[in-house]
Amino acid sequence: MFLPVVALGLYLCPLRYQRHYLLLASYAFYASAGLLNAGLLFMATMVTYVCARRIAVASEDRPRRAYLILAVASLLTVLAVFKYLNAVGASFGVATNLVIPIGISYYTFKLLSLVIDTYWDKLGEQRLVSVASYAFFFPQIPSGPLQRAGDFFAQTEPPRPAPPALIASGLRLILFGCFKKLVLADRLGLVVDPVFRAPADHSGTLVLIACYLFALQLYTDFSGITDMAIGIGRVLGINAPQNFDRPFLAANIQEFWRRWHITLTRWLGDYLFTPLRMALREWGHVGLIVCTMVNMAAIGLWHGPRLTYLVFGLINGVYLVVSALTLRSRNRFFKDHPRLAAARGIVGPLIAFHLVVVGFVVFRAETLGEAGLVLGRAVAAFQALPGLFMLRLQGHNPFFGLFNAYWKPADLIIVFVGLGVAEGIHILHSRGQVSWLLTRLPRPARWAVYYAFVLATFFWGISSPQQFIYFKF
Amino acid sequence: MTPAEIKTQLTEVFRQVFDDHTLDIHDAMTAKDVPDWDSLNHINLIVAVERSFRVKFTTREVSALEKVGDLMALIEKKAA
Repeated sequence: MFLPVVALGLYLCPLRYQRHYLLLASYAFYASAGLLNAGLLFMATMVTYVCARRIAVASEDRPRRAYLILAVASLLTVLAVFKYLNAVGASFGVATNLVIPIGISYYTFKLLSLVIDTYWDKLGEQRLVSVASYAFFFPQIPSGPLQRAGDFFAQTEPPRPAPPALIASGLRLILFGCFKKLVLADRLGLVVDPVFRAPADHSGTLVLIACYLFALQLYTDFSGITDMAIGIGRVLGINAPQNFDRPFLAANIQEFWRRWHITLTRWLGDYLFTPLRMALREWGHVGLIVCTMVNMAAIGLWHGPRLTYLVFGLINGVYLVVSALTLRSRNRFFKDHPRLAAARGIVGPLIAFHLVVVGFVVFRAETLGEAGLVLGRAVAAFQALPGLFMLRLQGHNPFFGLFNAYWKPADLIIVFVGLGVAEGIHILHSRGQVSWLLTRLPRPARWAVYYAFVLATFFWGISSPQQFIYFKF
Repeated sequence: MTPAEIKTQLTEVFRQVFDDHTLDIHDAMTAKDVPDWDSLNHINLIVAVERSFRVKFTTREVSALEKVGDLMALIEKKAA
């Protein structure tokens, strides 16, 4: 496979040429997906490089701002054209079968952040090979994380050998990511996909459960492929920022968005929300509402020209606005009622989780009608739950055979145990204890853990893995 | 203004914005150290600081702030 060859080459390569080697490898990877794609990325990189350089060397604000606008406008135009032309054309009855280049959303945003950071004097003048290797860095092209140029350059300039501990942790992360994606996410998809394809053909209870399962599927899928991307980067000596931090533990919806797709939220926060908010800061609450809605609409639209993506963004925007405007009073209320505050610790995350699930259902649906159908049936089933539990207590089993069409009993166990194991590892990771714990185990035990994951992934990985959900962005 | 005066006045601003009258600030403090200090609340803080110290910040200056110490240095520069 590509990675071992590239990694070996990198370790053997003289330090001085590491950047060039990495760039070449990344370019080869990307070119294999199509030379036109690679050409587009190269042009975008050149525009960014030239503009950033001009900004860095100019002393007057006027030319600096001109080059900034040039870079931002061209990058965003290209992104918009590729992502939206087909949809716009279709609405006029014109068929434009433009193929969306892989990772265009990701590398466009990386290049934008580089040129804006240069304008804000956070970055100095960069060599072309540095800009190119940042933009082309192949582990991050398909689905992020969105690493900032400063962070990337801090690890690559001056070039240094990849630390063995980093390589080891990278390999572990790749294994863990594969496990989450192939064993958990794709298995959850076995239920979620048929139910969402034909919600009217399934029982209300199953539709309700599929909504929850989709949230878990999206999480294991996206965090799985992100872990693989970060792991591959680490094997090549470059660490990348975290993209998920146990998001379903968030106490409220604001905290959720600090823990989910962290690099995208931060990117939009730094380059869209904050500048807009600063410009509108005299508008008070109206300013907050406008900026939040614009920001969340952007998060939705970033995924593509589907109406459900936009509505997903807008729904979360409303959540955040309501949350932000009521947070102070909610905090005061609980300060005055300390006994209720304990319940808040449990109810808060549950409410946040349900808000998120509703948004995700809209995200998953192809049309608003489908979303409405799924949510309508799920809500009805939710209201019927107490009745079903009463039946269960009376000895009947209304849940019998619920998953039979899609899961064997073993699948249910694998999902539960697998999610538990994955979450356990996430907890250890959030405490920085993963490598600590592993070094404390005797060698055979450590390797037993690795082999367990490898075997689990081989035996229980779904044999026709669905395309990574986030590959098409 | 002296750094000590800035710190005292800034502490009061923080306490008002985050509705916590026991909050104390220090140089190395970041958003992670205060619950509910996120990008939604961040500009509320900046606006409150601008009003309290009668200064105006640019987006570039705000985006460069990494910790409370940076904010205090920026206030000192602007209020001079």
